[in-house]
Amino acid sequence: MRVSLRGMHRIVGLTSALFGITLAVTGIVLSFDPVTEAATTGTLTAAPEVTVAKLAQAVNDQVPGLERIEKTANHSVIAHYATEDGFGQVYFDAQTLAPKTASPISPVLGYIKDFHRSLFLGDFGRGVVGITAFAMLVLSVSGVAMIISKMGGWRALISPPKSGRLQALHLNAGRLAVAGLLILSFTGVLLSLVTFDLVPSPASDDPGFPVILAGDPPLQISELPALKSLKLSELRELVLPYPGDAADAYSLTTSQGSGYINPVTGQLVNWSIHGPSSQLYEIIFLIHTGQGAWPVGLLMGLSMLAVPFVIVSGVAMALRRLANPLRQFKNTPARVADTVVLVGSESATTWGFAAELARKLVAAGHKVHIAEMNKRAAEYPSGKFIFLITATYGMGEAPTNARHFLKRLNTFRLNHMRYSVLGFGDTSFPDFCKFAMDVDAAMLKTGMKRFHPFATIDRQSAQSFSSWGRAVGKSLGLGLSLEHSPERPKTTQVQLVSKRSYGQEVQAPVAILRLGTKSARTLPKHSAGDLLGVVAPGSSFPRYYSLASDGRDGCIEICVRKQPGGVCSGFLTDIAVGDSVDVFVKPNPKFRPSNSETPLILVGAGAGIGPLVGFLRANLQKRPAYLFWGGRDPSSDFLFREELGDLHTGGQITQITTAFSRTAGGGYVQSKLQCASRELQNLVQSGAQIVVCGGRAMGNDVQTTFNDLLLPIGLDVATLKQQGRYLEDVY
Amino acid sequence: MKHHLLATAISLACLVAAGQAGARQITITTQMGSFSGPRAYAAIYLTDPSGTVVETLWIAGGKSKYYKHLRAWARGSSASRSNLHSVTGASVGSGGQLQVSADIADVMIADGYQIRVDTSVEDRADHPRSAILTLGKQTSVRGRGFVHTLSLK
Repeated sequence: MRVSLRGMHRIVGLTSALFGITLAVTGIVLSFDPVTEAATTGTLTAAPEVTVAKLAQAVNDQVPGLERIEKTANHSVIAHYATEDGFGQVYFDAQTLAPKTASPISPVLGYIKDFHRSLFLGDFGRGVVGITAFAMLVLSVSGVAMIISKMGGWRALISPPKSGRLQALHLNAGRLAVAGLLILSFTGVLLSLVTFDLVPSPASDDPGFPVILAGDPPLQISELPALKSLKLSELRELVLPYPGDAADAYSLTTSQGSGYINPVTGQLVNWSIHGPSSQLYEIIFLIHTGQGAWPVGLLMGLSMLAVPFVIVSGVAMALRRLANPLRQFKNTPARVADTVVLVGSESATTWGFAAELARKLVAAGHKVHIAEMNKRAAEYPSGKFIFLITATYGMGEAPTNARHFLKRLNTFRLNHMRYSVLGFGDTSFPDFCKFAMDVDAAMLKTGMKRFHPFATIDRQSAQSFSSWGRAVGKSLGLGLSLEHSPERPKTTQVQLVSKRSYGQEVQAPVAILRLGTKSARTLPKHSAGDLLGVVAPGSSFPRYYSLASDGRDGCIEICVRKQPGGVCSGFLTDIAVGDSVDVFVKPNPKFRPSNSETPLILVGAGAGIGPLVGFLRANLQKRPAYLFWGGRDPSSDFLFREELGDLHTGGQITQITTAFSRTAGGGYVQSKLQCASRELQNLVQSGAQIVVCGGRAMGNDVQTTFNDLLLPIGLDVATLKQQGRYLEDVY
Repeated sequence: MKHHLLATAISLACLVAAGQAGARQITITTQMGSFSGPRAYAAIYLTDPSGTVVETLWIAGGKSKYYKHLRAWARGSSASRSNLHSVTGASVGSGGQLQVSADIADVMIADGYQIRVDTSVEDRADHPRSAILTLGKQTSVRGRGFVHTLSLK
């Protein structure tokens, strides 16, 4: 199988992500090493001026058992000594020629350096690091190649991208990082190859030890001509002869070469100049580490700051792609497609149905182009059929990725194409498939003809999708067998812990259910306001209930109103304590009060009290909270009555206003809101947030009421919704 | 943590050098001091009284490219380094111990040949001649650098 550039980039990226981040982060820390060392040695701007003869003499006078003087690339002078009493290192100040009290090189950095090079795993770790460096090199090169080929030309490397947020982050951070990453990964690979002797080690030009004829007494270090003419900045290492061994010599390494000094004559002997390969190695080492050139180090470190962002966004993109139903589908370009499938939905389920259709049409010989409805081309020159597959949002509104479809329809060149609309929806909601109907009507109005009648799929039914497929196949003159069943989320089995029933007497049976698992650890994580999906036995799709509990409460709590003929609500209100239920949590982050001090207005009716109670329990900072709730009869369906009293006493509720429709002089919660108009106006003006939960009809009425009472202060629900101050969960 | 390592090398060259004359088997113990960082490389070798390397008895540490850091030994042993694998073992940790057995000719002991040890720890320090023990005169000496004591039996 041929692997595309993108596929290779993705596989290499996923496998190397963890180590890549590790190397980038430790590398960033290490990039500060040269500049801090140069700052402590006072050589940020200029190298030390002293001669090696003078410095070495001073060090030798002060360090008993001196064996070796090392000078680092950032001009730290380190005297290595060993006597029978001990061994170690002394740092010297090149200006004052006096020992330093503190080591300028942090031991922590030493550990980080070891980790960066070998992950504390010896040669195995070094191998992993080398392979990771190679992976980073491959990713940089393939990344640049993709940008250039995809976006056309080198200019793409600097111009901003236009696509989705993750991809934009990946591309932008990638642009910032790629130059540094190319350099660091390339030099890193080379250093690794040298470590493993896979390229010849450059430091092998050993000149050989000279024969020293012991004759006259040796010279003082300060009198050695070879050292008198050598500046400290050029020194790498000076090893002293072993005391009392007249045949031993100084061995010297400088930036130019290495060799020996005859201790009697003080002249260089067997001197060899660094060859081109060792010079090349030093340049590579300098670029990779910044040692001896701190601005290089800082620059490299700076460019690595973007690398964690590149890697994390890349991994997120790859994972998201795994969840994409179109992963295996090879899209035909719009120009040459004979069949176009436009999808209006952001749910993976609808896309899953659309992808199944596209795949089977391709198998039947069609050239299929699939895209979001917003991305409809101006024309499809080879197009014959156009499928419009769309869900409906809210109250008959367009899904986000189909929002521009209708208003841009007048720019569409029809080219004798024919169309068919398939709507996805839920018949238990009003405005069932309304947007799909609008699309169908609008298409008809353009003058385009249908090739297959308008159809709808209720609650993601695999059966009706399949039979629609057979019918469409007939219209197109081919056998079309569509098989797609939406994947059910992973469920957890929980047991009913307690059930409190209300409202039997007022013909509105409702129950507060508590569900739990044996161990709190296995309880699905959730917050009040999230949705609990319940799959009743024999039902193919879940029903959702707003959660009153928080994961920390140790149980799951929901309010369930028994719907006449409702499969799931009937099941839930009938089960006994100890019975098992399959559930999963669907996060609902948009329905959650903001984390502020402004007042909270909570409005609910019936079982809609559930999440509101949850929000009030969580109101530990005691922001002003006003609860408006409507039931039927306080003696029968006053849910959470005691607990609301406790919360009021505890200060988590400022005020409770109830409305009971079956009592004398009673009414609905909307009328209570009207009564409190003045107060509510003040609260909204002071920044209050409104949270509504209950049946759809109540939700609509509450909106109307708020629109009326907010009119005098120049506000409306739409504005508040935009500001995130009107949250709704209606069903 | 203490690392104990027993290494045995029978020095054929010494026997040959000894000719028909007598030889003695000795056990050389190198006790490492405590140090931080990676494990140490060490070379234990026999020299004549002037310090010329006569025989490599043991090398602790497997990567030959680091041997140049065992400076004194590396410098003097270039001629006799072709066949090291039979006297090479693992590097030695802080506080570890190396034991080497060797047959040494009586003549060498009488003439004051020496057992020497070079040590090196990567990125830390090289200590050539960490210990020098003169045969026939000393049975135990204190070392420098990474070697605590060098003794023989």
